[in-house]
Amino acid sequence: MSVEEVPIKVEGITKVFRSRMRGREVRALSEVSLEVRRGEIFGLLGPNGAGKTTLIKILLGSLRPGAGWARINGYEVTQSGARDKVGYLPENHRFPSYLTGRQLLMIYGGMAGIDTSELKKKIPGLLELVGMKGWERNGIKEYSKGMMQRLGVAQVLISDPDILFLDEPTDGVDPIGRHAIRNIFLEQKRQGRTMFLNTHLLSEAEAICDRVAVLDKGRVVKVGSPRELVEIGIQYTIETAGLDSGTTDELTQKFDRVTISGGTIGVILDKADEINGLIDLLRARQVMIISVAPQKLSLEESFIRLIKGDRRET
Amino acid sequence: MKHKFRAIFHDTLLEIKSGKIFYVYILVTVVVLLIVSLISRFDVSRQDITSYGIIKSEFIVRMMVGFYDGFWGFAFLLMLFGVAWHMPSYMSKGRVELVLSKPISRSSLLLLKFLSLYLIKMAIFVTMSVLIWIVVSLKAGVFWTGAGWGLLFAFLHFLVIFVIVFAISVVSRSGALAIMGYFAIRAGSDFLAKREALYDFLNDKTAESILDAVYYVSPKIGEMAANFDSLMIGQGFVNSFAIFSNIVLAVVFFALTALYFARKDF
Repeated sequence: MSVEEVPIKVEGITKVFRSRMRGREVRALSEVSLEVRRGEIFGLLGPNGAGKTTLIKILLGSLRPGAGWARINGYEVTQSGARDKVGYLPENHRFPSYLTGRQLLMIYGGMAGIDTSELKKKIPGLLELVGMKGWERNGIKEYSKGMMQRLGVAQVLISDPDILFLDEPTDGVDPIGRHAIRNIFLEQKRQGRTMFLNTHLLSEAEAICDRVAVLDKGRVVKVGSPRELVEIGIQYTIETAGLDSGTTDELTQKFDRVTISGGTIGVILDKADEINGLIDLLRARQVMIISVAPQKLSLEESFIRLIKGDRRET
Repeated sequence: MKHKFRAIFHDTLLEIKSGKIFYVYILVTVVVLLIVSLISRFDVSRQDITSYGIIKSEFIVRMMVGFYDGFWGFAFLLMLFGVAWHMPSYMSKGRVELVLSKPISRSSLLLLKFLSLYLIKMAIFVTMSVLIWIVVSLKAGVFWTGAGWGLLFAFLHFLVIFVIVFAISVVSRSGALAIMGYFAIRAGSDFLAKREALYDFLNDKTAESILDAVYYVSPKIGEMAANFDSLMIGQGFVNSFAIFSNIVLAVVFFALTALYFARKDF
C-alpha cells in the first residue's frame, strides 16, 4: 500500500538495551512489524514493560532502532522530515514548570515551525477545545495532573498534525475529563487524522480504536480490530444433569480451558463451531443438556488470555 | 528555522529568568552599583603622582583592571554554573522526548540551544558590565576604553569555555561533572602552559614531545585570560596562537558533541 494509505510502516524493528556496567542485555523489541492506515485510530496494547513506549520513541526519533526500519509519511524515522506533520504526547511528560500554558503552546508550536502570529490566533481556540480556557496565563506548576494532560492534548494539536502519537493520553484524568479527551480524538479522526494510541486501558482501546496490536515482551502477539480480539475466545456456560466422573475427565483432556463445578461446565473455545463437538460428546455420554449460554469474553479477558497463551508458547 | 530559533531562544530565556542564578546576577549588579555610587568621587583628571610614584590615571586603570577582573570573574562563575546545569535539565526524561519529536534535526537543535544560551548569558553579562562601567567612569571621571576591549574579548574567551562546559554537560548529563571537568581542564591548561619549566628536570625528549602535543591540542584557558588582562591595559595580545587554537578547539568540541547527541538514545 502507498504512503497515502499507510502513513506509518514498521518493519522488523528490534531494540536491545545493553547495560554497560554489567553487560546485561534487555530485548525491548523483537522484529516488530506493523502498519497504520491513514485516518484510523490504532491502539498499541500491552502489559507494563511490553515495549510500547520503546516503539513510540523509535517512531519519534528519541531512540534509534537496533535493526529494522520504520517510516512515517515516507520518511525514515531517523530523518527530521518524518516529524514534520506529527504531534506527540509523551507518557509521564514533564512540562517545564516555569512556563504558563500559553507560553508552552507558543514554544512547542514555534519549534514545530509555526509563525508566532498564527500561534497567537490558534491558542485561545485550542485551550477552549481542551477545556482550559481561562488558565492560559497561569503557571504550569499550578495545574493538576488532569489539566496537564489536557494541555498536552492542546500541545499535540498546535501544529495541525496529520498523525497524532498519544502515549497514555488519559493517564491521571478523571472519568469526565477522559470522556472529553476521547471525544476530542474522535473528532480528530472525523477530520481525517491518523492516531497511534499507546494505552494500557483496554476500555479506551475498545471505545475508540479501529485496530489494535497487542505487544508482549517486545513481540507483536496479535493485530486486529478490538472485535476480532474479543472473538479470539468465546466462553460458554453449559448447565447439565447426569455428568459422571468419566465424562468430566474426558472433557478436561479434550479442552484446554474447561472448569466443571457440579453440573455446570464453563469452557472457553477458540472458535464458535467447537461447541458442536462438545455437545456431541455430552450427548454421546448420555448427559442431559439443560442450557447452553454463550458469553463473549471482554477485551480484558481476551487480552489476558492472549498474553498468557503467548507466554506459554514461548 | 527562524520560528524554531525564536521558540528555542524564548524557552531558554524564560528558563534562565526563572532560575535563582538570574536573581544573583541582579543582586550582584545592584550591590556593586550601590557601593560604587556611595564612594566619594576620585578625580584623576590631573596627572598627579601618587605617593607610590605612579601616575594617578595609570593607578586608577590598574585598580579598574583589578576590579573588573574580580567582578567579571564572579559573573563568569555564575554564567558557568548556569550553562553547566542548563542542558542536563533540558535533557531530562519526560522533557527531551517532546523536544526531539519536533521537526528539527538534533544537531540543529543543539546548535540553536547553545546559541540561545550563549547569547542570553552574554547579554546579561554585557548589561551588568555596561551599567557598572558607566557608574565607575562617572565617579572616576575617566571613561576607560580598556573595559570595552575586555568586554569584546570576553565574547570569544567565554565562547570557548562555554563550549567546553556545554559539551561536558551534554555528554555527562550532569552539571556538577561539567563544572569539575572545566576546572580539571583549567588546571591542566595552566600546567601545560608552564611545561617548559619542567623540561630542565625531565631530560626526556619523548615525554617533552608528548606534553607539547597535548598542549597544542588542548584548550589554552590561562593564556586567554592573560590576553584578556593585557588587552584591557592596552598592550594587545600576549599569545595570539591561543586565540586561534581555542577557536579551532571550540569548533571541534562542538562538532563532537553534536555527533554524540545525534546518536544518543533518550
